[in-house]
Amino acid sequence: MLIGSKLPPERVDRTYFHTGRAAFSYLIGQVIKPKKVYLPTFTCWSLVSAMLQRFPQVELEFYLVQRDLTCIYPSHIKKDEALVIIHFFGHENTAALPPCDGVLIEDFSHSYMSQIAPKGHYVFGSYRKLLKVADGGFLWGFFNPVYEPNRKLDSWLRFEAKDWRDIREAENMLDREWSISDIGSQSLEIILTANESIVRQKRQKNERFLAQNLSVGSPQLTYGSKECPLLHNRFLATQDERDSLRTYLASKGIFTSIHWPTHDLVHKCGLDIKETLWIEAHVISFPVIQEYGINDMEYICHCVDQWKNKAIN
Amino acid sequence: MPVIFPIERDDEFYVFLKIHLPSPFHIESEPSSAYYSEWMYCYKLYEHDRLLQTFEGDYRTINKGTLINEAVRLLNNLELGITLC
Repeated sequence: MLIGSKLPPERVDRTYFHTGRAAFSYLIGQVIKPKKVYLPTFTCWSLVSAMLQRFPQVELEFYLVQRDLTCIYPSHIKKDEALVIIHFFGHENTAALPPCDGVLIEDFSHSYMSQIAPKGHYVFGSYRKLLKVADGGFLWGFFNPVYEPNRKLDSWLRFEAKDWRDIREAENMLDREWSISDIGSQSLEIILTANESIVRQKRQKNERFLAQNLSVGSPQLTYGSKECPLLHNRFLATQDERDSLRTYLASKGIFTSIHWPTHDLVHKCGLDIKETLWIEAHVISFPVIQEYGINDMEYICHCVDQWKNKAIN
Repeated sequence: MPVIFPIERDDEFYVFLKIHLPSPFHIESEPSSAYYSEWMYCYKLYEHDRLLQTFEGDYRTINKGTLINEAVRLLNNLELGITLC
């Protein structure tokens, strides 16, 4: 037994980073060190970008994703290979996993509040999708990275932002230059004090309202009772309709997004990605964040009805 | 005016000036809202509401150090009382 005035620090079961891509890159570069990584064709481009920027020597291969988010995995994950699976938008990915002699990595950026039991060897993600934080990424488990220096000017800019322009500029700064660095203290406080149960309930309520009351298109997903929706994705019949609706809603102060535009590398990967491209062309993503309430969801539905009536007339 | 942090990269131009420009000067970013436009920049320098100068381009193609030099030049001119127009 050691008795003394100074003891080694305790370890917690999370390792924090500036961003999800930093956590992912640390995992790939320092922990797993695979020779090949599989990513879905339908993915946030930051993972593709991380692979290209940090690991150009690692073979990158894509697997197909259908429009209902069913994944067509490789037939076998060999030793020295890593398969990245995503629980898209907070919904559990239940596609049967392939036999694996390599490593399964789960991206929980959309789903860490969804009460999904992980299946993989490693879990990583970004906190910025579900919480209003300036930065934040994580790995489940204790790791002890040597962090790279970072002045976090993008975080500084987010705190200074008065409108979408500086938020966008901060995001651009992050996309241009990022490092495997630690999380900011302000963000950590918000993350550790967030009431996940309340966040989940509010998001579920908002998403359910949109699912039941939007008068155009069809939902991409139906969420389970334990799942925390990232947003409400809706498919419109044509790209023109989708783009028209987005423009109209923007004029009413409602920002919708497209999850996700297809990365150039996916276009060139040689697979038949028509389903992925179909999602990109038809999807419109509505916000369901916990800071909004049913009044805001009613306003969204009302504006969508207005757009629809204008289109009919 | 003391420098809070030294500018080391071109893409620190905007934040560097945002922090160091003295009133009544200020700089604003006008980023594109299009996807995959992160390398394009457009910054506007104002004195009160008067637009003085626009800096726009592509970070991938500018000569390295261009915006660093521009930021330092701007602040030096302000220190010396040289009118920006």
